[in-house]
Amino acid sequence: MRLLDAATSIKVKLGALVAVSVVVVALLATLGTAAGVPVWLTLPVAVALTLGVTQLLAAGMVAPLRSMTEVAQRMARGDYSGRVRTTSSDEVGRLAGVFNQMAGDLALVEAERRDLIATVSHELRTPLAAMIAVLENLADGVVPADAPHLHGALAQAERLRQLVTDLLELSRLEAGVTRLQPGEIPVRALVTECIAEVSSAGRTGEFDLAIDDTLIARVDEARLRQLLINILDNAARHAPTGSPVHVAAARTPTGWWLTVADRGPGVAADDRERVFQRFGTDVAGGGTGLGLAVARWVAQLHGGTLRFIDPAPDQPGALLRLELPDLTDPPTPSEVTTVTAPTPPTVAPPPSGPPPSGPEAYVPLASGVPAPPLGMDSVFGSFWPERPGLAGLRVVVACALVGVLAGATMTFTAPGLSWVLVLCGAGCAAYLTARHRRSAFTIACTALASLLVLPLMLLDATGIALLGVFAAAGVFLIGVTDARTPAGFLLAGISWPLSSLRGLPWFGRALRVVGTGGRTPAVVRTVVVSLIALGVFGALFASADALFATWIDALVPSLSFNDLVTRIFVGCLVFAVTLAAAYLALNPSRVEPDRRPVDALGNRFEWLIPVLLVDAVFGLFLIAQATAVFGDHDYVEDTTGLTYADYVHQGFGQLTVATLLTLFVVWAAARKVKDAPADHVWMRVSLGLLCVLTLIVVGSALHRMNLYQEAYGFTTLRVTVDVFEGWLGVVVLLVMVVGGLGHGRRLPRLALVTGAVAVLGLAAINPDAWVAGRNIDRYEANGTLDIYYLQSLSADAAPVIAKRLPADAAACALRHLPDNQLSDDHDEALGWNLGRSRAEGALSGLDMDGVQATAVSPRAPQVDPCGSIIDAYAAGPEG
Amino acid sequence: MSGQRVLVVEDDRVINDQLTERLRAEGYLVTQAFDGPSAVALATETGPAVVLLDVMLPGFDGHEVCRRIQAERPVPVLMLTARDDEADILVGLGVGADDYLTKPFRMREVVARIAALLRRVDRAAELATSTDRSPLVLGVMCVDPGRRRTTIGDAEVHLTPTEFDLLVCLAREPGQVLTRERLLAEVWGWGEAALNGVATRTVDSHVKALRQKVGADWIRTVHGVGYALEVPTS
Repeated sequence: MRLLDAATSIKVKLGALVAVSVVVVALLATLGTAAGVPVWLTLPVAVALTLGVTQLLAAGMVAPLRSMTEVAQRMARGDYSGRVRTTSSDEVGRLAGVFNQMAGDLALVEAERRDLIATVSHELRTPLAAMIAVLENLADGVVPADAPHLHGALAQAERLRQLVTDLLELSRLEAGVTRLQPGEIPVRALVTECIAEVSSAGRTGEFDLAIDDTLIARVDEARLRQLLINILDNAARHAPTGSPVHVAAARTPTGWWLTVADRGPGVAADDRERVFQRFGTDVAGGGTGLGLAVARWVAQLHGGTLRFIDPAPDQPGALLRLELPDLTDPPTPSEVTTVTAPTPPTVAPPPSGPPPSGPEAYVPLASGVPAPPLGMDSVFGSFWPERPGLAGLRVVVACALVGVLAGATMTFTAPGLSWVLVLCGAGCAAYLTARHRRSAFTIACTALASLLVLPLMLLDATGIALLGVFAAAGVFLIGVTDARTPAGFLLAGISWPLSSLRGLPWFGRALRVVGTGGRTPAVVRTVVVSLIALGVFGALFASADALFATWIDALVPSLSFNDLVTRIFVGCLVFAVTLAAAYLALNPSRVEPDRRPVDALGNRFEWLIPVLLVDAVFGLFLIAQATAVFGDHDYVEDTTGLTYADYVHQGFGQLTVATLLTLFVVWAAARKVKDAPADHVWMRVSLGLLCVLTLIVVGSALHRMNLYQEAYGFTTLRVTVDVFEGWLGVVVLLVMVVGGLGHGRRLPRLALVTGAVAVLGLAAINPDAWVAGRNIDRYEANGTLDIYYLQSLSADAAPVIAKRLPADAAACALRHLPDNQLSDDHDEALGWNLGRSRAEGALSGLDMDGVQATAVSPRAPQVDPCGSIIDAYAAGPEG
Repeated sequence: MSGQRVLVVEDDRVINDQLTERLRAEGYLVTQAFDGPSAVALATETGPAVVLLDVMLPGFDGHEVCRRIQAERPVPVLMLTARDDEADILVGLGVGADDYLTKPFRMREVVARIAALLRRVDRAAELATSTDRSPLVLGVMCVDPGRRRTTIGDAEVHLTPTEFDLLVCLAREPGQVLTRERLLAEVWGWGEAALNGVATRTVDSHVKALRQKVGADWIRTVHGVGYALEVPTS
């Protein structure tokens, strides 16, 4: 039973779904605003909750349709046993009900058809066997070809003819709709005619009529004749020789009746319905087993009945009674009465042996067609198929635990120990579910990723730490999806957010397991129920009893309402993000589809000329560089009007872009080269030259940056850019070496690993401290120092500054630290960070109170003790 | 061959008469029966060499007649059935029928099958008196042509005469694939003339029945060729 099953219209359900979603979002937004939760946190949680609500409410809407598709496909294959299970009562539910009924009817019709064919073939075999027996004996001269034997063969042929006629008649009657053409018929005359016909067909027997000449019935004459012949023939066959068959008929207020009585063996009460079934009668007497079935059909078509009734005690035998109403509609020449055929009579069970039909007997009519994908499967198609039997609940539970950990420890805590713990936990949860977890590449990526999150704990510099986290996420995702190409890397990154959609059905199934039996679900239920009970009763008693409340306070960290809301939001967000990563690891998208090989260019010049042109441009550029380097600064100033420092600064960005583009050119050209020795030589020469030139460009760019840093001082950003450019140089070198050796396919992964190592290296040199050190080196060389810039550095730089600058300058450079980075006094253990704890050690040796901008007296203007010191350092020794 | 008695049990008078005429013309002595009870009574009374038996009979059906006749005295039975149903045929073979024919059938085929059945009885009698009567032991299975008994482990397996002959034939050359044609010739005594689709289906049906009794893993099917007896590995 699902939540919305009671709704009788799908519109109501959709309305309820929209309403509930809107209410949820509105409540969440209000709650978030009241608790001061930022929008970027509220929005994803609201989306996730809405999706959850949809999953909960909409599941029952679509499930019957899917089930119907499946059952219909099975029916197309000839299996009619499938039924749609649904508890919903809307239009879809009703459709499912009708569908089930249809499936049942079809199954019945199919079974009847099979029974009929088996029975008919059986009934045809016996006269055929007899006829063949007679004819073969005649042909072989076993019996003489005299009249009795020929008549015997003829009689068998006659039996066959009668059987075929009856079958045709029956199939015509059962075709569904039969037109009746009523007319005024004198009953006695019709019965007399029929008796004549029966007698002429070879039945010897007397008939005794008790029918008034004036009895006129309104019936379809042809049909009634058919009926009468069948029942009269049946009676004549069963009547003992010498005893007449009594036929009586009379009018009733609404119609008329007719009885046929014979003195034969009669019909046992138990058999009175069976004999009207096809082949339900004993055929030994010479009938076809179909006559009574036909007769009853005609009676039912007229809206009447035909049945055996109890004979009078003094007149044993069979008493067959026909009751027909007058057909009411007066016949007009153009009009005919259409009567829908009643339910066809069922086939009598075969006289012996097991039933011919059975589950093993059916033959598939059509070969199985693969089920078309539904839902998310159709959205993501072959890019992201879902394998059956994915582990569910334990993954969700692991991710939920990570979410709880995040909510409890990460919220209100500066980046430090707890962040690393949460990230490692999330990584663990995702890695342990990963499909490729045993592949060396995935293991290496996971190891790199776990190293890359460490700066969060070791450095106070947020920028570097975040760079590390992004790199870690990227490397990890590429690892779990087993990507190999740059396109694959990109798809792996895109797959993470998409995973929150792709994984929804899986998530729904995992949660549905909680409602079923089994050990893990039971544990989950117990934990959830216990926590709710603990929370509700704890809160109730805490508000009721002061002593109890103080105990609670001692146990539970102080939680204001707003804090709690924020913690829950953070927990939910981390849970969702972790779950998305875990799903991606569990069921990786196909980021490396089978790409068709690129067609090589037909002519060599098509790729060679552009590459050589690029080579030439690079060469020209380097000549200009050489002039600038080997000429003096004046030449540059004279020619360009720029100072040398400006000149070098201007080019750095463009050179970096040029390096990136060169990598692209090499990649594109290498794909388009024909697989011929001469082409390979040309490729190695032209692209090798390009790489060498690019390396010189990289060197030149680094040289420019170095000059610039010497002129304007070092910053963390400049160091980072240096590392990036250096990494590009390494990649170009790798392209030359690895590509030259013919292992081009490994390049993307090598570039990835070297990039990750470069980020690690950047973090390892502790850039803020390094930059501070280099700036102090510069100060020691030329006497100027930008203390304002030092102030903007993170706590990482504090030990270097405190050690190498005079105490007053150091105190001024570090004076904002106690208010900013080092102000987190709560949750010290959770927020532990190596950079900050070293900074605290460094500050303890300095007089920090002396550098705070404080007013000496309330009326005096504020005096900044650092102002003069900073100015003095900035001016340098000359000033 | 001539002079042997055949009991024809068939409720359709025309068919019964024509069978009788034909068999008399072939030189058999024929007794006619038209229902189950009289068939059993006549079988006891006349002791036919072979019984021609329709499945659908008034009184009780052909299977029951077959069971009762066989319980009294092993006699070859040729079943006539109007139903070409594998299950139906297996039931017939299960109650001790040796062969079956589906309606409509050819008189000549009936005669040929009856002759083959009688020939086989002679051969069995011959075998029973011949020297090669030592029990055949294959793993846990023991087939004793002398006493016409089969055991697997300690359990005795009850086989119809045809099934037993089939098993002996297979067991004399364990592991060898015997073609359907050879089995037909050795077990049923059919010559080349009788070979057709119906005949090979006879072999298949009997092998299927035999498999049900001794266990499916004893007999290996070689598709398109025939069958071989294999001692199961486990």
